[in-house]
Amino acid sequence: MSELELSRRQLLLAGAGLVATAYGLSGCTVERPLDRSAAGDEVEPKIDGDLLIFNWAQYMDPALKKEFAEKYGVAVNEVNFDNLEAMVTKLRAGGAYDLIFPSTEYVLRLRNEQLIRPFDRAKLKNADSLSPFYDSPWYDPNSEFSVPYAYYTTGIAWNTNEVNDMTESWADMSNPEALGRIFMLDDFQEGIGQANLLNGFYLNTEKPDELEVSKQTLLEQKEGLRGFSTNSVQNLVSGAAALTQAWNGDVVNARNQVDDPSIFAYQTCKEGVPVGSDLMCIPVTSKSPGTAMMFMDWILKPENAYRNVMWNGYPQPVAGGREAFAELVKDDPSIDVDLNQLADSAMEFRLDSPEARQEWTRLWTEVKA
Amino acid sequence: MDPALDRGEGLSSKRFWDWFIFPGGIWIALLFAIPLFLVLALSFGHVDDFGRGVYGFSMDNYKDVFDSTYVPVLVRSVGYALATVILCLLVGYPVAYFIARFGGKYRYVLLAALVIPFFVNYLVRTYAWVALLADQGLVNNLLVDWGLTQEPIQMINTPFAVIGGLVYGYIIFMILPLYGSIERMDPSVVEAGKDLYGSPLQTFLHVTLPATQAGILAGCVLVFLPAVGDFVSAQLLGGPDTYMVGNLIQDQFFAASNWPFGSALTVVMMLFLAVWMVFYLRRASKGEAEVL
Amino acid sequence: MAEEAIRIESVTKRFGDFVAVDDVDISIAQGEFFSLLGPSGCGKTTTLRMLAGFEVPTEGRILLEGDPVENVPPHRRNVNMVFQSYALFEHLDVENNIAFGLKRKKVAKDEIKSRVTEALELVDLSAKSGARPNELSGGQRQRVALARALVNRPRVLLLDEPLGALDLKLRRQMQIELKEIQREVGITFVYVTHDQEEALSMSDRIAVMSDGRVAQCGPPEEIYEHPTEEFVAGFIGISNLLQGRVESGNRVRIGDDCLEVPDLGDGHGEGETVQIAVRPEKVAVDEVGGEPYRVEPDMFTVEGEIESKVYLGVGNQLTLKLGDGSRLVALEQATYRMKADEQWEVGQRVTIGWHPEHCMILS
Repeated sequence: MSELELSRRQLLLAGAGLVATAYGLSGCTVERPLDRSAAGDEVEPKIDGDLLIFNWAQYMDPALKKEFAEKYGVAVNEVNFDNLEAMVTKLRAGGAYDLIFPSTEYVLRLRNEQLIRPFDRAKLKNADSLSPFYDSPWYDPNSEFSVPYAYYTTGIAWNTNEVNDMTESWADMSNPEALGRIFMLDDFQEGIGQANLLNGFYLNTEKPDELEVSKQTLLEQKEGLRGFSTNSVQNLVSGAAALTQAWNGDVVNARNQVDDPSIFAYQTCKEGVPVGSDLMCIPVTSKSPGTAMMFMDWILKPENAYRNVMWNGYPQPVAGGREAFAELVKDDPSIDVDLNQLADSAMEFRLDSPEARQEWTRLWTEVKA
Repeated sequence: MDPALDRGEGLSSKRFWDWFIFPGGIWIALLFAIPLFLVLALSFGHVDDFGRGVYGFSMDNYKDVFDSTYVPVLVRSVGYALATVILCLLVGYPVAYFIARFGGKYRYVLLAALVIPFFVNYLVRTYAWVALLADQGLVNNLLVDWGLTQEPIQMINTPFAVIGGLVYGYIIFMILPLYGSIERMDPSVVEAGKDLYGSPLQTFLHVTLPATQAGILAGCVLVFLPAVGDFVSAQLLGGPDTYMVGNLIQDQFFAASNWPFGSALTVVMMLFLAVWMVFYLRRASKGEAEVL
Repeated sequence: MAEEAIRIESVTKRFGDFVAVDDVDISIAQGEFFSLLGPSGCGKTTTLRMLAGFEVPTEGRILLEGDPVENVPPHRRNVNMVFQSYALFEHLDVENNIAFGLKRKKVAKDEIKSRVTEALELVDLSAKSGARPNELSGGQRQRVALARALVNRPRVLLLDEPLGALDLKLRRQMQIELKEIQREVGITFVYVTHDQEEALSMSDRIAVMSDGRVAQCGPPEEIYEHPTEEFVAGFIGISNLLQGRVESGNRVRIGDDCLEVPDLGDGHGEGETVQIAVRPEKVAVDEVGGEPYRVEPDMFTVEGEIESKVYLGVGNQLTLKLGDGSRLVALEQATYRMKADEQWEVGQRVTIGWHPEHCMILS
């Protein structure tokens, strides 16, 4: 026997070692605990080091970073993530980012996991004009962990050359004029959510009988679908979609890419309008939380918000940001959704328990399988 | 133990090789075996209240894998992968045959022309196919311009587009082993087949195919394995009914935040693929197949 | 001549600008063992491949038992080939390799069985019927290739250097076996080889090819004893070539001496330069000044010296330098008459002689 081959005994030993390790792991989470010792300190908005931003790609005007860096004499660097799960994984692993951009549900998760640190929103000079929609939200009741960056509504976009009769209802997801050319967002919450709304249920219902009804709705809608996709811009512009469930920001982008923007119309639906928000938070691992606060304030500054919205096409719920978006979509005000006017119909996705999340994703798989 | 190893040169050279395996061994242990083991361990775990994966000793995830919900997804994935293998073989064989037998001095240029596009990111190449097959894409525009069809044909968002994307994505793994075995084949074997009263078709079936079966087997396995676990093609080119197991796994990690279940799916897939791999390697070790 | 098996009529084969076979005419009789002999690139293999149907002649006709076949694909020609590489089907056992052609011809199952058995006996491989080709030795593989072709009872068997891959001893043995098998089955063999000894020992007739042409075609003795051109004389065995000038009658002047040849051949005028060839084994060598021992009185003689000597066991091969600087090779056979202590010294002056009738006049 060659000395490189393992004997049966060695294999058994190795196996026992692995089992022992597995036993040691049992009950552990995937990542090790973080050092949060500095997170309890009060943060002051003052320059305390260079800034490392962790954001979606193409989501912030680079000129704003550059000007901030020049004005305050610090380096502003940005790295990007492809999805929020990947972002959280990096944070858990101890990545020392100073500013991150999670969605509402992820703010709650990060807060629960103590991965983000509190700060005093009152110390941001430009926070006064923020929409009251973001006062004491469910995921951050004391408004101490997050500041809104941008928001979007979910509705239905369609090609006016092909579809005429729209009813401002989620029932339009089965519009007979568009059958076979309809896309549904490939997102389990958006998909199940619109079915819940159409059936008159609570957007985030966890009731099994209601979810079963919505599943049937989805299966019926699927008959008329061309696909599940979050790539609404491309689907609209390429002509693949006659009608698609869409985020309003994507409709702005689609309209920018065609000669005649009026061929793409957008509606929110009377049964309910899901609103999504991306927020700015400071991780506990941040080495320059003061600079991070300074930068948040910089982004909320009306003239900067205006420029940023003009650059990325997503409305910001702050003075300057709202005006910019209204200007972007002035020839089709339906795309511009004012959070303050939505009042009761504005809804946010939230699945509070992992079990509910699992039920929803399972239902979604059943629909897609 | 060989007593010679206890003396002089034998000993030092043995020591040398003992040390030599350390860098590679450690590398494999750290970057391959441990992550694999963590995936395995996590597959027996569950999700905690924060949505984090927690290690454990539960079979629940495996029960879920074989839940009737996911069976159609598994069946579809295998079906698409098999269709991909067959198409790759049908398309790849003539190409490999032509290059190997008639490529002459341009053989390596032709091979390079086939291989180089595969250095481009798979995602980017698949996006190119989206542009190609779209309703207003190149193919449809040509069809309409030539009057072959009045209205664009819906090619994208269909199972055919997904399989087409898979074929495009992995056909090089078919062509290269086929090329190798066809090039190594003694051309006079084909002549012998014709000389012994085999028509061109009979000669191909009874002589050329068996003589290149090692390459065929290698190509089929090498295409099947990645195709069955693919998620890019279905995501970009698929329609409402093209959900594959790769998409399912990806959704468990990135949408559902259910890493333990995603891990269990991954482990089951790996075992399924390992069965194929073992079958292939056994054939290879008997000299009937080639190991790349 | 017996009935004609093959007629090659004015066949030319070009590959692009390259002329592989240049206006060749060959007629091969039924049951003949016919060899195409020549160095590599001479066109012999191309000619064979045209007979098999793997190549189509650019010009000319090929008749198989009177029928033109030049455009008939290989699988419809009743000829079979034994390939240089044997080209056995590695995925089939010996039995199925041999049965391959019969199966394609849709011969009845029992007949296939009996004919395969018969073919296996013919090549003495009955014990190996279930073996895969890769389990066989080179000689055995060669026999399988032979049986695989013969089992079809072709009109003509084509053999492309079939013994080239075997070692010398096995090659000698297979030469004898091949010849025996040919006699036994009575099929016309067309045999391609570059080994002149093999061609001489096995063939009924040989066509020596050079640069795409047939240089000479005839029985082995004729090719060897009466080569008609320098190429043939040089390719078959070692030939000593001497320059001569035709004088009156049958007299040819070589250096200072005159040689009277029995037959000068036609069309050699006075004063013309000719090539005279003489085989090494026909050259006798004696010590100058000693008793004539090998050189006979009626021989033509010249003087020279021994330039080098190679001991062959069965004799000596001597290279001799003549007065005018030209060289001759003499093959001295060891015989019972040879003195045991006889040793040639390099540099020794010798008398060299041969019978005039052993001169070959080349055009």
